[in-house]
Amino acid sequence: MARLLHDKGYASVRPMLGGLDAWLEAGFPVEAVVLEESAAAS
Amino acid sequence: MSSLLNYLFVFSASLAENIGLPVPAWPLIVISAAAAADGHGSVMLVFILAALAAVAADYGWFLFGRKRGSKVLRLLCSISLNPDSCVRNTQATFEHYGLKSLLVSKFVPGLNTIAPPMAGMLKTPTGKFLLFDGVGAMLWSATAVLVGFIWHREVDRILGGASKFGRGGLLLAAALVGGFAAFKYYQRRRYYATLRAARLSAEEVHAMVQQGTDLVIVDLRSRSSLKVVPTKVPGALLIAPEEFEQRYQIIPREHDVVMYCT
Repeated sequence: MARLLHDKGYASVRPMLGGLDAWLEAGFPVEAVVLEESAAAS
Repeated sequence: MSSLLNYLFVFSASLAENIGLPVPAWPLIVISAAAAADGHGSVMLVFILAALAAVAADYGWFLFGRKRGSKVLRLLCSISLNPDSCVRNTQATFEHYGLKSLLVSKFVPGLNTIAPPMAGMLKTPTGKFLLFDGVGAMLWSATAVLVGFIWHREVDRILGGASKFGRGGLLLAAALVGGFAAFKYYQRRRYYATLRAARLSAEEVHAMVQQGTDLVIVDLRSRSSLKVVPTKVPGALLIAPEEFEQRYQIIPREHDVVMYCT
């Protein structure tokens, strides 16, 4: 998907290593997901 | 080959592949069924043992997936050749077809070992899982056994030809298999190396946010994983993989983009 964005002309697209699991493990702050956010916009 | 050896052979081949080892079990079941048809055991028992071993291995992964969730998926995908697309594709397939994907997963490379822990991760009831997985395993075993049973003479001839080469032929075959595994391993290493070069660690992303870098963070998890872990990196845009093509325009172009999944 990073490649797709790159092809669409986005200059800098990078994946985050380890994903959300790594973020959580490091104890960084998170915010709650409002599921409608994804549904409403689609 | 004695019948007992044949049974042991087919059971371990099926078990090994379904645990996730790079063993081509399907053709080995064909060979085993052909041997049984030639008098080395019962074809029916070969069918049952192959299916049973598959369900046993799958059940193990199912339990593991239920306990450890997405970590198992990541571990399994790291064994496969294309880890990123592996997680994405499997999740998409599983969400689309649900438990029914267990019926055909044995025939789909990649989906095979990943569907059971996926089912566990999504808290599928054990009985339901065993039913679908069992039927899937029997379909898989049955096709191989039927092929071996129907064409056992041809299989025999091919194997007989190979055995004429004797020890040398065996060594050559072993070298070929080993070489193939080594090549796959090398390919995966290289793939990882290129990925790592372009990747940011969670610490780096966190530091960039702290410094006030203009960063767009995109959460690429699917709807079902959002339900499993209902939190995200602060400010991240939610775009599920299924809707990525339609919605990627909401990502501003002028900023650096960081993406993550589970």
